Amino acid sequence: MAARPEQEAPTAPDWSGFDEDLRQSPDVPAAGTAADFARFAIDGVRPERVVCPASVPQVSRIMAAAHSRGLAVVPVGFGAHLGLGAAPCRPFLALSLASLDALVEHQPANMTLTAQTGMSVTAVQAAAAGSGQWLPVDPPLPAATSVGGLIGANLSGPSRFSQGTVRDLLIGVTVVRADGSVARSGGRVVKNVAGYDLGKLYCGSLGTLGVIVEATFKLRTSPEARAAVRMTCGDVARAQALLERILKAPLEPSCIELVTRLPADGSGCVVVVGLAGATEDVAAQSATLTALAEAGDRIEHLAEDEAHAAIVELRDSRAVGEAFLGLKVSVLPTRVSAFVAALEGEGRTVGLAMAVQAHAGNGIIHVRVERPDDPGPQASARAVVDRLRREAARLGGTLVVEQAAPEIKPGLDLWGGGIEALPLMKRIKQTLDPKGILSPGRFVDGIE
Amino acid sequence: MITEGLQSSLRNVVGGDGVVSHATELSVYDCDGYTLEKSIPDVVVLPRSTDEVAAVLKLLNAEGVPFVPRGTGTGLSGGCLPLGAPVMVSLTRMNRILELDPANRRAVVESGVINAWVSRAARPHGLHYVPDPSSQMACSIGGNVAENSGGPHTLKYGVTTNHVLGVTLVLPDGEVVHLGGMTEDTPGYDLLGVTVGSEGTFGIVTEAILRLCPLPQGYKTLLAIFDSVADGSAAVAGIVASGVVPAALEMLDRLIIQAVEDAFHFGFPRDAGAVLIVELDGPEAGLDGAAARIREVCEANGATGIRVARDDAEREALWKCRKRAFGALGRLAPNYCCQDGVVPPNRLPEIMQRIEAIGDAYDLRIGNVFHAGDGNIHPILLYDERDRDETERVVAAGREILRECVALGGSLTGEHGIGVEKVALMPLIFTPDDLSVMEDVRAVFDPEDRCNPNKIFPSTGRQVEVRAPRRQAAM
Repeated sequence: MAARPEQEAPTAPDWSGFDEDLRQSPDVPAAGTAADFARFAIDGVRPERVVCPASVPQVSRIMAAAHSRGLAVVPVGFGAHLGLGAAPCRPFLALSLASLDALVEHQPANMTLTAQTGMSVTAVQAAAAGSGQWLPVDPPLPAATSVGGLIGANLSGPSRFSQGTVRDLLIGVTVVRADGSVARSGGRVVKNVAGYDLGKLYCGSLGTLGVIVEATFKLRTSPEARAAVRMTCGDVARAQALLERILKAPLEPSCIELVTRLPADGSGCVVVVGLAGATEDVAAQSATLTALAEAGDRIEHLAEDEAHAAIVELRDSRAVGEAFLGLKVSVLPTRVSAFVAALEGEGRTVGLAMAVQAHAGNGIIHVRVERPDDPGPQASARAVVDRLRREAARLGGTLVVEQAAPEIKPGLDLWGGGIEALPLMKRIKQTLDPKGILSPGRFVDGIE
Repeated sequence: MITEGLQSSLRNVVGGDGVVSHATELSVYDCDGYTLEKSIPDVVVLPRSTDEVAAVLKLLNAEGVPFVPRGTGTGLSGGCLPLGAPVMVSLTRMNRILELDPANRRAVVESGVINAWVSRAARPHGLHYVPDPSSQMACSIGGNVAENSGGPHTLKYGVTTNHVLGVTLVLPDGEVVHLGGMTEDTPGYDLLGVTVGSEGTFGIVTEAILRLCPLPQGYKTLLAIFDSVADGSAAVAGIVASGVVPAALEMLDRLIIQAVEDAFHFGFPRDAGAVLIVELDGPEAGLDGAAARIREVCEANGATGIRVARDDAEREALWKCRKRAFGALGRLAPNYCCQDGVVPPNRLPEIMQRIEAIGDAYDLRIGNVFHAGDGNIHPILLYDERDRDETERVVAAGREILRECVALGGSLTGEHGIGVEKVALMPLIFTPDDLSVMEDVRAVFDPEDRCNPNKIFPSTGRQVEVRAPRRQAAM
């Protein structure tokens, strides 16, 4: 891991002093196991320490100790999504929240749920399901995703089309600040404008602003029926035309996904529309959808379990296994096919195979680039990312590298430059983490 | 005070007709919809573009002059009351819809655009802008963004923050930044998310990118009649628990029913203790089933009658009554103060009981018309501002109601904001540590505390104590 020389700490980090501070505390947080050190390695860089606090006061004490010694801290959940963002630019402590996994409160009558952030998304869903409710978000690999990871990495899935993302569901947070003090914002009622909505700042902040220890969410009632309609079109242009018809039709889809492989392998371009709601709604909407297909499109109606399995596959596929390169592109929904066409051209020119999965109704395109067999000079990952980012920008959008193989990642610009509000973002970071100890170097512009 | 030199520089930027400085004209700007306190700015500046706003703020920055942004002044917490801010920047001349992109369901508007105009423009494309404050015929999008406004139909679809994709923000030093954007998940911190609802303390939002939603395919609007607020509240809790998510779930109590009936002659039963307006929307196929379930819950909780709006005209008449209920109160008293507390919906029966007791204890008439589904109450305290004693009782009773909301696990405000009104109550829900993070964030945007000063945070040292009506609010 290459720390920028001008930013190297003047003195060596004092880990033994930190260890001593923890030993002195009234109840000593557990240390991580050998497996934890491997699990919380980021781009191959192992943490110097792993601590597993079991209470919020323990988190506070750890942060206070790290803060006083200027040691870098990376808050982690289960480690499944640590590939997002750069490796920390300094040796770091992994602060595992996995033991902070209590369900604090579920108020079914008020459709709210408060969880400690080490709870898994699957456990949250199980708790809500007991009352016929769900947290309407479907990040990839929910059993391996903590609530803190859900928020910090701003993870989302197909249901974002109908339910929004975690920022839309988070109504209150408790955060341990860089210096160990504890601060809350929001509350436990679904409608609340008292004070600033700081929860939003932590969504997608990748552990750079504070350690989120508790979160309160709005819940929704689980739908009575679920179904999906899978429509396979000959090519992307036809799929885009179908998407536009779907968006104009009297439908309330739960998700609108587009899946294709590049170069085309004959499997066509698949559009999956999820439906959820009252049984009679779902049936009526399935019929409406069928009528939107063109002659030659293949239509499959998936009922309950089959539909669920199809959506789960869409949810998880982009996160299973190591990709050579995983990209997340955001454009306007009408520009999805234009970007996919650009991808096709890029893949053909440099000889790359890709799997494309788009939350098409939102204009979010996930691209998994397969490892090239015989990469030519044109296939340099950096050049590919730069060209595709320019194309996304030309279409009015953005591109983020979500995942990259270790040998190519250090040379990549993960977040893209030209973030207009970067000076403000840096001031936010500076004010909330003046010593720059929280996940330094991980987020946009290597902010630290 | 504002120097002649600064006034003339401001005129150079916005034109002679863009600066208001005569006392009689300024009196229009002495309060918003929260009328317990009044204060007049030295000058009001009316820019016509983002560039003009930036130029105005640069001039103010150079002289260190505090300012307050103002939309159309319909706020209910004194959010645009000038307190230690001699210059008011009114956005009413920035009222153009800049872009409508139906295919992508986006609208780009200037912040002085009236909320209802957006839906009106989108309607031919089968779309609308969902957040619908009761003041939507008059309130501006900029004000909605500042307060993170709600409205009856935000129960199902979310409030302003869920429907704003980007803003153009002019910082207090005159720098222009764009937060969020036309596309989703723009990289970096979600500064947009924390700007929405910042009550105009970060700078001046001049443009907003709004998300539009398809018009529902169908509606089913029910009016359920109850003998008492207690029965109506129990029905609300039952509906929330039933799993049916109405688009809107609104309650009116007897005082309001009678005032509204006198004003609009809809046909509300004047002797009812409470009515619930329950609106279902969505694909036609599911509406009947959902309506049947709502009917069951209401009947199980003592509804004495249930009517269904026969057609669009009746539905619209019903909503007109609900949204103009505040106006109808003019028949009952010269003034009113509307509170905005929130409780978990299953605590509605308790809070309604406590409000009644507080009304008795302070010898005040209190009506209730509110967003029952999300527990966002609007007790309306009637008074006559010429009666100093009654005015003071209104202030004291309002605070007591909010204390009760907090005690029941709720919040001080669901959609109106803290403003000046509830500054002193913030310590009820936030610790000094909680507030210090918020103040740190505020300082990132407004390091000199010049943009809408003396709002939200009790640490500003100002205690909101109202001693006399019509007084000028003091620091």
